[in-house]
Amino acid sequence: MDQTYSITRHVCPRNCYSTCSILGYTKNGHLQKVTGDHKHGYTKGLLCAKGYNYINNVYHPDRLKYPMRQYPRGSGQWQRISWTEAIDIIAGKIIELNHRYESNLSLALNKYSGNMGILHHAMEGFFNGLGKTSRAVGNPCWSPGMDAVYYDYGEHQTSDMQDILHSETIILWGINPVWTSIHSLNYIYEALRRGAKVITIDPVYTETAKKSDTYIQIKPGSDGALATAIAKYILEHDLFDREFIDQYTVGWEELRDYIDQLSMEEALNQCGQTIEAIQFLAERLAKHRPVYIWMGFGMQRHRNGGQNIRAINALAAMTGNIGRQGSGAQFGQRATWKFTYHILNPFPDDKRNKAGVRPLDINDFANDLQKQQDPPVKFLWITCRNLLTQSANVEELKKALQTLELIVTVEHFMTETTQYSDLVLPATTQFEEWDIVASYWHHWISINQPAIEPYYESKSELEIARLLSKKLNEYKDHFSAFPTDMEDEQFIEQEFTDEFYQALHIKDWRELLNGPRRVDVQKTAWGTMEFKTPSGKIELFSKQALDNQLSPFGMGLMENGSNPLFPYILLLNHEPFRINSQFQNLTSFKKISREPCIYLHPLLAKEKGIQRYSMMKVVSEKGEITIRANFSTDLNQQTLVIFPNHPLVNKLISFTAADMGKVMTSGKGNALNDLHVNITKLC
Amino acid sequence: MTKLTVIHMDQGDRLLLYQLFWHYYRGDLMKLTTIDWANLAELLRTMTVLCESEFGNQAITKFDEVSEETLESFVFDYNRLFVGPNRLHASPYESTYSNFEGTIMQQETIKVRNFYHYEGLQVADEGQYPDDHIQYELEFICYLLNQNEKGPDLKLFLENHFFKWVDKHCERIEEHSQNQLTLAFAYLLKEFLQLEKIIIEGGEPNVN
Repeated sequence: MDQTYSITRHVCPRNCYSTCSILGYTKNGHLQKVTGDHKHGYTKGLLCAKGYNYINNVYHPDRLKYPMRQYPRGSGQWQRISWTEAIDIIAGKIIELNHRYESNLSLALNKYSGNMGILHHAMEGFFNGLGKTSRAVGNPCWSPGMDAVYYDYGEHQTSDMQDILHSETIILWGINPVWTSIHSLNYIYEALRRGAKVITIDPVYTETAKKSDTYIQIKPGSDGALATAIAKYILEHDLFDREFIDQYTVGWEELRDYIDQLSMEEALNQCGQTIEAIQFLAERLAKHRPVYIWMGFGMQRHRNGGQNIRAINALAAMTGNIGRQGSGAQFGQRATWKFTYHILNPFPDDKRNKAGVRPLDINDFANDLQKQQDPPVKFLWITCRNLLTQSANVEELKKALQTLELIVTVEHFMTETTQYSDLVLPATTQFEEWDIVASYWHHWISINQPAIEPYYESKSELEIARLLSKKLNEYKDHFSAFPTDMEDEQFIEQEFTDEFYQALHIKDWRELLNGPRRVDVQKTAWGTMEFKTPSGKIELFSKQALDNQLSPFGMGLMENGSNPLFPYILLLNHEPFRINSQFQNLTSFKKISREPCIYLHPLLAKEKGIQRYSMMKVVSEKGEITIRANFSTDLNQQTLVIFPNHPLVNKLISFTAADMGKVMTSGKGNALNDLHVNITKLC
Repeated sequence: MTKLTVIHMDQGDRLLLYQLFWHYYRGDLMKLTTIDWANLAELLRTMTVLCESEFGNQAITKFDEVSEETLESFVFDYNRLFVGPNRLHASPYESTYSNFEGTIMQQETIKVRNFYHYEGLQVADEGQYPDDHIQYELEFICYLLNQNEKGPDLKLFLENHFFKWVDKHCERIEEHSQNQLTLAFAYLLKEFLQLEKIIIEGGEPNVN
């Protein structure tokens, strides 16, 4: 028996700011422990509670073990089948549908961010390799913000977190890193030690807010109104940075005239602030620079979500807080994702059968699935996604799924979604496969190598795509263009270019096995002040936005969206030990929160006669749920919070289009945080 | 508690029963016909000690009365209890019962692996399938039982591993079974375990 550990490199591929590099310690084919990787320049050898629990995830007794078939769908009658049988069933249905409709449009893929590894694009590549197919497009997370940043700067950049050490003022605007981005805290605390002041702006008095110097509690979705009020104050008190504005922005005069017309009183009313709070924030922005603003994702999940982000961007720009060390309005970045994405593009050789996508909006999937009838969707592949716990219009979705002939889900565990599937295929984890993963926040790229054999009969998505492609081509030559003879390592190799290698200061991707590498992008976002907008400057007035029927300005006040029947806002906030429905089944975490509950202010509860821990009713325009009440004085009396880790809340949610998202993600975001509800005690 | 008039099963019967359970947990018995099950019942009836026990007798009767309907739902119930894809109602892994978080492939599994290694054995594709799955433990017991000189090792393995969890496993099957066959096997295993405990822990000098 070998008594030594072999140490392998891994990356956490979850949808999270940190994208941690992980070391796996394996002895005799058994993964014994995981630690953080000290060579990662951002996470610096630390993981989160979820990361440290990966052993329990890999070796969870409930992990999917074999390909299984459920007949009839939803019956709970599962048969164990071999991979050969599974691939035969799937390939057979694909061929049958191709004959029936003389195209592959009845095949649909719904993939999202359950695994953000590059090789996990395999199924998209496989679908592209079939010619034109149906596809869930859009993004439920960050699309309004992505468009907003694009309108203002033309590209998506963030600063290195080390940059924050040069800040005088740190504004954590709608972000709760104590729960959702713990690695950033070392930097924030160090900045504090060096004299920076931290201000948290949030509708919830979060754990982060509790550790800040100042907390501003705003009304949900009123971030743009708050930015406008501050901007108005800055204008009135001549606090703006004239030199910066002249040099690096366009549209200042227009924006100024526009803000002049807006009512300060109305702005204050909308965001629920006093003029003193506005004065404080304006002076911090103008007189205590550099100011580092970090904008969270929640504020852009509103009907005015993109505008909220644009308003804050404009505020940073008018105070000269962009592109200078220690400053910036940070949201998310794509600048380090310099992959070739060849895995996505194995286009069919047959010119008559051109690749393409018939889009189904990921945020309005239930309706789009039913709308498309020429031909109708009959085959759905679900991967990296728990469709039924994270979708709007869930009852319609269940109905729409009934019209399908084959639903295949690739998963690690049984979920609400797999219960609605015909076939469930067991997937490998990041300890059993190759991959490369970049971050949408920091600038490090990490490799993921296998530490252990695929557990039970699990296979990587890449392997599944290859198997399926091979089978289809046995039926008919060139039916699938997805490569069947390329090794995993070759797929990785083709994702790199010389330019990318240069940016990583390596000559071969295998050097990543020695440790993660930082992509050589600017340490301070927009440090060269070369913006990628049509004007080459920050666009305070965006003609592109205007052309897309949006306000050319980010600043502005909200339209009255209140509804007397549903006077409260229900926010869907992340919790510290899970990412939506992921990590639900870890035994130790189950002890933390046993059952779904809703948080409300005790005074609101008193007014409604609701007892703590009693069951209460929550009603939205879409539907109603019964849920246990829990109290929190961290909320105001018009706001409630629920953690969206279970399917219950979906009964309340429909698709409410946010203002932006179409340009960068092919679909508008869902205004999930514009969820207006009413509550009653359960009689 | 079952009253036993005879507590001794001969070596051949014990081996046969361990082998029966081994095949059952390997999934080899999924396609047997009603006649096959009746034949099994007949064979088991020759083991007096089983017939005269409460649960042994119930199990044998159930095997005898297997209907086509029972066979239809057998595989689904078997998967529900032991295979998945849902949460296993009666996990077939020792560590589920011994690890404090129910995680498999931890220290508890490795102890079982070490036992196999000590005897010069290894699970095929080690690391891919947990070593403490009941089918491997049963196969290992058969291996030890087959060799007279392995008596002490067998005693040690049964006492430190198999006996420690299989009762609980049977309880879970009884609680969640929705099929006469899976229930019959739980009864049979439960009864057999009692008999084995008497033989092993009863201090009979020669367990063979």
